[in-house]
Amino acid sequence: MTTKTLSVPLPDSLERLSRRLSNRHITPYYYLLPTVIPLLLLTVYPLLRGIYLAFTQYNLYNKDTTLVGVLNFVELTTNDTLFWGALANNIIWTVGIVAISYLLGLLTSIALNENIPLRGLFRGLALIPWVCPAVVAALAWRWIFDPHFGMLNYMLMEIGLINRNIGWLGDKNTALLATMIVAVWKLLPFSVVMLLAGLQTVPEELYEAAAIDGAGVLGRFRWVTLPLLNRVGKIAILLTTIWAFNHFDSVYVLTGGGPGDTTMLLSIMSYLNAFRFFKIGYASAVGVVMLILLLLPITLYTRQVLEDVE
Amino acid sequence: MELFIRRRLGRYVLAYGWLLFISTFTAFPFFWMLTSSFKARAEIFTRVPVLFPKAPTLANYNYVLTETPAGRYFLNSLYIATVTTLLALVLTTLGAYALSRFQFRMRRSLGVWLIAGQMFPGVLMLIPLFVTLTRLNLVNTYAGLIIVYTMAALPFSTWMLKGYFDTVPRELEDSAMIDGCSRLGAIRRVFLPVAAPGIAAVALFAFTIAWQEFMFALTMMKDQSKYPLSVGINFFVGIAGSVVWGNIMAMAVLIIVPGLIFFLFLQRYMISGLTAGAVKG
Repeated sequence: MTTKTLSVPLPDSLERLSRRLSNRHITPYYYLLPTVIPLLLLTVYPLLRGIYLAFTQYNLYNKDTTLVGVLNFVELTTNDTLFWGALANNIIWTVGIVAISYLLGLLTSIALNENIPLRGLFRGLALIPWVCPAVVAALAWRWIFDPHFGMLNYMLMEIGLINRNIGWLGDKNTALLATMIVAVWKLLPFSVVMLLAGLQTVPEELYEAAAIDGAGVLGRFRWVTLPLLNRVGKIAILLTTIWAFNHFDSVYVLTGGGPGDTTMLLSIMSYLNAFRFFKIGYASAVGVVMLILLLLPITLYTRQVLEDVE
Repeated sequence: MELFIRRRLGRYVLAYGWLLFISTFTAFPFFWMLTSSFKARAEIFTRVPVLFPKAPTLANYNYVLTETPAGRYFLNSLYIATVTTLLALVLTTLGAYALSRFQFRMRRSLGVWLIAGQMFPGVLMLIPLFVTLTRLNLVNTYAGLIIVYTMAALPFSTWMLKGYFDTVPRELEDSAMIDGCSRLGAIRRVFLPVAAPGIAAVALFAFTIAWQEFMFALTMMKDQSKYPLSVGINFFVGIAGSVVWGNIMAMAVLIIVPGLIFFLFLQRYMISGLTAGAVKG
């Protein structure tokens, strides 16, 4: 572009240099710099640094960055009374949330895909949790779960499902379930939006053709809807898995990991180690364990998205 | 024909039944926050929950805005989220453009990083950033938190924007360049106006991240006067105890309303941005 406007002939080598600098092969890199430099500083560097710290005994007092090998991981898996419980909680929590939010999201998006009056209103109502920060959601739900004045106990009593108040968040048997309900509430809009977008790409003719071939409602769902939702459903499941697995905010506010560590998740465990006990290296090791467990879903998700684009 | 109508009717009944159930679940906490924020104290602690306040009062809002630093928190959040949004837009636009339009080495690797970059455990990223920002004296500053939020927003913003840019025809800039524009000129005059909806979606995404975030802010901000709303409301609950529900809910409404307004205006763009790449055509 710029070489065209040069009227004075340049020495050969200089011209070649100038052409090279303005050439298509170089231009993309100028454009990329403002994105890539912060990306390197703010995502690549912290990730590598975090992994490195997991192999040290760095804390906020000693600032010791000597590598100690897998000491933290050995300590974590053999000596930490919290770790295995937190890991189990994390898995139950994640699987439960993903399964429930996918199922509810599927039913809701199918209902919203019907051409019924007030569809827009219902869609808006289904998406409301999206705009609610996790902290606020946690506070609102804490009140709903309140053993004495909460709406949930009141309703269940009225229907006759329970005969005495349950202390949802304070009871070891129900605390994990209660935090899961809040997380499903927060993630549901995302599942609905994804699956609805997927459903809307299913051509009406396919249903008609299936109906002519004698497929009933369930048959059409099984043989038309589900296969066509395959891709978008996979993405929704992978993303909710990753988000749920990493989740911190609402559980920290609702229970802080209690009662009796029944809602202790890996993210909370890592956070407490880092910022309450200042064991930075150890906390990073917990983070690295999370990362390792997430590698599979992250890889699958990334591959799926790239495949869709290309 | 009659069978057809009956079947359709059955489907309607099922769909409405389910939608009523699920929207009660999704909207009830919201409804509850909103009505409770207008309740007088006597209506808060009742054995039989009061759905609609009999004598709506603004006392909770009045208290929260005059007796607590909620207004301050609100401004902090607004400032942090606005700067994060602007920064994210400035940093991502050209890069996303290059990803959409040019072929270059490492293009695929960059794509992988942008997609995967938002998936890593937040704590694992927070810890080293906190250590580094401490060393740079940026802990407990707006700038520090804005940097962290920009990190959180950057990868996916770029990817989302690239997805939108892909839908804008190349011929647009090509013809502007034939008419004598430089590429940057063509981007500014012709391309960006057309790509505005995608940029709006990314702005909403970045703003929402900064507005809703809790963990980073909890760690980074030490002075109460610098708390954003998310940390502020949690702090307020901590000192006031979870008994002043009317006040807490008034504060909660203050947090939700700006997000809700943005969302109502921009939800279409946000949704298309999120599902781009997942849904073709």
